[in-house]
Amino acid sequence: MKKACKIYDEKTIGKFVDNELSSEKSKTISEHIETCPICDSITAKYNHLSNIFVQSTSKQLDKIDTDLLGQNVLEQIKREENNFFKKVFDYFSPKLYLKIASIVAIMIISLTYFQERLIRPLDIIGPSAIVNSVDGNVSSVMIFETKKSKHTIIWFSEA
Amino acid sequence: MGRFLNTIFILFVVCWICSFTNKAIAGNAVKTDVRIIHASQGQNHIDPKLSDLAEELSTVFKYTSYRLIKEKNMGLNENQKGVVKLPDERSLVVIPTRINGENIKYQINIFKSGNQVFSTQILLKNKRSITIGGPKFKNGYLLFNISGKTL
Amino acid sequence: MASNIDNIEENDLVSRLKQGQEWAFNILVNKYQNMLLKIAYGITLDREESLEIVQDVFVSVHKNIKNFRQDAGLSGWLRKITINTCLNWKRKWERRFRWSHQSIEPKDENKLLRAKKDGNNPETLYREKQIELLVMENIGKLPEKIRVVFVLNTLEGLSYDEIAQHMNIKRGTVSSRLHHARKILLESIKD
Repeated sequence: MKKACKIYDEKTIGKFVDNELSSEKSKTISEHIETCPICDSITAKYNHLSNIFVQSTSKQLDKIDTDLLGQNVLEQIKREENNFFKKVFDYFSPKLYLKIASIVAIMIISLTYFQERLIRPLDIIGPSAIVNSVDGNVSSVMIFETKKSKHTIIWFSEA
Repeated sequence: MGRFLNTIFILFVVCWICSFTNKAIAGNAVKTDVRIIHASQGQNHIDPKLSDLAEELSTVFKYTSYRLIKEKNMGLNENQKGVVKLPDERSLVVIPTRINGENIKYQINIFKSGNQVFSTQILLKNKRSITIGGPKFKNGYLLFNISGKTL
Repeated sequence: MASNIDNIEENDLVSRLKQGQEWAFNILVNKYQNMLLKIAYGITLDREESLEIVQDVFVSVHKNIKNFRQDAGLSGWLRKITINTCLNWKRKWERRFRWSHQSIEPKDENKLLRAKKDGNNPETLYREKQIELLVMENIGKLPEKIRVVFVLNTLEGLSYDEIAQHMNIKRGTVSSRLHHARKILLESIKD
């Protein structure tokens, strides 16, 4: 069974370790820790964890060769700047272009989706067909179109 | 948000390319539908399959009855002949002679007992139709409604 | 060069960066690379990846410096970009952590934790090393939100308020996440 301090919980000790308490409270806890082995142990463990993490990270970072970092970054930037597709994309990247593009995209998608309903009425402004030539054994030929949808009609009378 | 807009942008580009591709590939084939209609002044009747067309035709013709005798849907390549047999030993030949995204040029011939009685060349707007009429049939007349749509 | 790095004012550096001066960019890299590497390593626990991340961060800074508004401070801005880049790296680390768990076993963690610093005898050093490995391994297993708070607090020494501001969370949440991190880490090196 884990022993717990009756005065301070672990979260408060955590704040104490992180120096996130008022100076008055910090002083009180500091005095308490001297007489409370539980809180003392928690403080030690928390500090120990932090030390392990800091030292281990520091050891690992020492192994990283950063000498070429700046040079590599500049080379990468130059590579990207010379990339044609990147250039084109960057040109269109600013938010304004994207907003315009998104509106146009939505319009195109909507028009594609509703083209049967929306585009067709625009198409029927002119006659449905143009008659280039008529020939045959006929006595008469009439070409006309309906008023509403300009539907072209050829009417012939057989001879 | 930026990623969303980027996606929309890419979508837009794809749609844009598709709209060109659509036009570019159009012209290989055309869906040609022919409806043979008997129009007369008999009992009021409009074939449900002709409701759209009959409404248009009734603005220029006095017929009270529109019956669908036959319907033929054909997928025709450029210069491919489509033949529809008609009553009274007649036949209709439809040939798309030029296809592009906007228009289809058709050569339409009507034969009776093997002889050509009518011939026309038309430029039909894509996804629209033309009606040709005239031959007498059963107290009325035959109408041929021809529609074309590029594939 | 070192004196240049120390002397240059942040405002001056930023304006030179905005003008695209390569010299200023080198100063930026030299000045902030260690700080960013520490954050990146703390989050990813991988040297190669943290180096790549920091490289990406500087490229991103070069691209976006014109949009930088100085209200958050340059280091705050860089820190934010680094955290975001690290979090976007998440998938990669999930993969990595799956195979990096071939750690020391069997471990009597209580024993490990009780290891006294009674000199430099090989047994003590070995035990301390095992605890370190165990702690680092379990930091890698912390949920990312908790891990980032733990990294910023422990490695960067940021206050709860600063972390809260950075991560757009409440101060109380920072405290809870830190408590949670410590609890998980201590539990993991116990029975």
